[in-house]
Amino acid sequence: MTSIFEYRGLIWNFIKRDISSKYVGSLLGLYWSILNPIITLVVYIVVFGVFLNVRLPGSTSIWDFALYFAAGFLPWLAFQDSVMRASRSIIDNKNYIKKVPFPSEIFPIYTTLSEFVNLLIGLTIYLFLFIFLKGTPTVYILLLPLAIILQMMFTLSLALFLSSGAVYFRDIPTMLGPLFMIWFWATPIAYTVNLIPVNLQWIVKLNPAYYMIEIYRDALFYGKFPEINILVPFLIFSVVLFILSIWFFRRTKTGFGELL
Amino acid sequence: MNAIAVHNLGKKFKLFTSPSGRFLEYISVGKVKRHTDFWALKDLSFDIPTGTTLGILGQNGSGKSTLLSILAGVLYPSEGSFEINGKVSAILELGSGFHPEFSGRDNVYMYGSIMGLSKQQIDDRFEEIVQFSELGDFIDQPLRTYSSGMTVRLAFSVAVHVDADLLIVDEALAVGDAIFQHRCFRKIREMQADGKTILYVGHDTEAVRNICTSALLLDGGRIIERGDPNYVVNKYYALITDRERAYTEGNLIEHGKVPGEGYEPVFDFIQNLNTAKIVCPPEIPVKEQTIEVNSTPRKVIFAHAPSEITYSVNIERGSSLAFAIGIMPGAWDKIPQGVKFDIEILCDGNTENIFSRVLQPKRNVGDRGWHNFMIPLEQFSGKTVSVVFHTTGSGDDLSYGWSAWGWAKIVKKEVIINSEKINTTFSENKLSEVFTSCEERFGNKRGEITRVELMDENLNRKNCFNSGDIAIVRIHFLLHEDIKENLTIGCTFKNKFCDIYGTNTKWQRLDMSNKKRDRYYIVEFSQSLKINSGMYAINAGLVIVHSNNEIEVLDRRYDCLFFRVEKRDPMVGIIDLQSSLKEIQI
Repeated sequence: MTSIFEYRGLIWNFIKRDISSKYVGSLLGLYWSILNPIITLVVYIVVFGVFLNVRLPGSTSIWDFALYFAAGFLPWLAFQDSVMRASRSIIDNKNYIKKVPFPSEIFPIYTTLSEFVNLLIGLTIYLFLFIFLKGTPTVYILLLPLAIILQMMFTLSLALFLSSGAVYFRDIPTMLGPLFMIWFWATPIAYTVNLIPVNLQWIVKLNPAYYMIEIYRDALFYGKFPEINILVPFLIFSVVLFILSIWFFRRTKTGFGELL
Repeated sequence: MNAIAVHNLGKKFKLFTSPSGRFLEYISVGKVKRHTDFWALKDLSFDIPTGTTLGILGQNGSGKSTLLSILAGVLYPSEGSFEINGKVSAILELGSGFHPEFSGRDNVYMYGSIMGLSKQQIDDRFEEIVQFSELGDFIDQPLRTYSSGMTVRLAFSVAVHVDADLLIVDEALAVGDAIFQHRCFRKIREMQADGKTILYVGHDTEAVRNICTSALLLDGGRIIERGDPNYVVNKYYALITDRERAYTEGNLIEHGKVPGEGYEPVFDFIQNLNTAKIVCPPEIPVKEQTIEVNSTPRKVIFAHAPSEITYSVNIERGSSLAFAIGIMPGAWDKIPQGVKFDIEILCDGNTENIFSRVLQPKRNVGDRGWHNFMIPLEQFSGKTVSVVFHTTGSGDDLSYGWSAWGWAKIVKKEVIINSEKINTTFSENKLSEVFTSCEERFGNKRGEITRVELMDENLNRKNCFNSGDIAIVRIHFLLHEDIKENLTIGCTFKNKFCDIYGTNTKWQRLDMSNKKRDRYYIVEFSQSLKINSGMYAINAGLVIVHSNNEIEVLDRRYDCLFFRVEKRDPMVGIIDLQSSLKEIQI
């Protein structure tokens, strides 16, 4: 991971270019990165909160559900977009990798980081909404950087695994669309854990995304310190996975020049 | 100190017929094999001493690009190793490593930072880079708006300005316009003077001759020649001509001498095949066959190795044995070791081998086609002898022998000897004359340049001239067939780097029509050597320029003669333009 530091200028350049190119030529430009999550949030809240009448246990307020949903959905959106885009990043940038000894780690890394800018925008919107509806957040909001760092490690790990794997197995990026849809509905984001039948709740315990989102919700919504049996397993999991993914990427990148 | 040291480098590609085959191999962890190996490079070893320039030549698919990609760090070798001392800047292909959506400026900074330059260092060089590339205000436009020439100009400018110790250039340069190319080569020369190491790869033989201190010739992933650029360039040309020849030889052309007028056949081995004693493998019998050579049907004895055909013949005075040997094209790949053809004559209880030749058409392009021979049988005159045709293989899979003896006859010279006819043995002796060690020679030998002479105006042989002297080059040649028209004889003068001047009988409108087989001809080129002092070489060529401008090389001799020119008054460059100077009074 020394390359992150070594090539920080280059990565920063790519991120800037990536963000500005995403909205170049569109009328509202950068505002889309604010509008997009808001529109999605509103759609989900209307369907689940208003039509299906989903409420949090012990609360009848639709706003509680809205905040609960947003606290989980915004990180999930960033996670999903990062991984899906990063999985193509090596294949899409083969021009560099084939012709110059390019530090190919840069591509999954910058794609991931660039999507995190969207997360930060989303979280800012959330905080405004929270303050407007509930007043000052608790001191546990200070856990937010930890949640973000953990998510970033988890996301980067998958990005490294999948972007490199996609070179060897081109179907990966296409497979990710349906897989993420299943994953999204398997994770208690738009609903609460107690809605899952008790004999199926063990599935949630095996889902790393559930742990990731719980930490966010504790920091953003519940305003409490995450349970130890949530925080510690996810911390260890993220670190181990991250190290494994770097090892995997290093091992497999030798074949990029040939297979791209 | 070597800038690059390569040891036994090899690169293997796995070729899969379908993506599913690749996937099966992954998930079976090596249990299933669905690929074929392709070695793009094999056993490559060479060094590039620091401060020198190496040129790599080779046809398409010879492994050049793979080698460059490995040296540039894009591909990883399958075996062997290489060391690079210093920073490498590589221009592999057009605008590689550039992002089409980024502006020229952004790309410069990006490439610079990949090459390990800090922002400050790039800032310092930026003006120079833009100036060198002549992009001007375009530098702030996205790269996708650039023409290919502009892209390569920018790529080259950046590559030479990042302070690399080793510059790798491939044929990308060819895209720039003439003026830019001049500037590039000037820059390359500057870098050479600064002690930088350069690796130049491409098809541009003039560039290799001009800028390289040594050169390699790659073919089939292996180094087949190395050394002086001039020598390697000549070998490269020979390789290309050989390939062209091999292409036309699908039609089985004929080489060598066949009995001409004045010979009459006295015994035809093919017609008398039923009288011969034959030893051969039972499954593939020796038999007569008709094949097509150069679109004419010819009769051959199909003799699968190992076989032996013995005839009993009475040899008359003045007889020669005329025959051809050849291997059918379908078998070339199957018998890499080739087939050996022998002829023995049993006479008075002694066995004498009068002919022995191995044809390896797979390895040696010159062994393809049909090879005619004529062997005098003078020493057996008046005797009845056994003539034995032996065909032996190499111990390989011999089910693909496909070797044959063509149109074998005993011929006898007619008594009346045409005074103009040239004795066969005489001309054959002449061939081996005047061979300089450096000479490169190739062609299909329908005619041969037997001698090239360099003389002064008094026709004294000479190889040292004063600048401005008259030099006379005489090219002697012999034809093996009648050539009615388009025969062209050319002569080129060159120095180490480039051709200086060349002309030929066609451009000079010297009539060369209706030339006869088995005759000697001489063409004289007379010119004044208004050139600078130095070593020069002469290329001589005997070609047929077909009406569609295709050139058929009969015999080309590169660097067949060297000579020196001395010049008393100094000048720079190559050609003495003999300027006259005066001061204009104002």
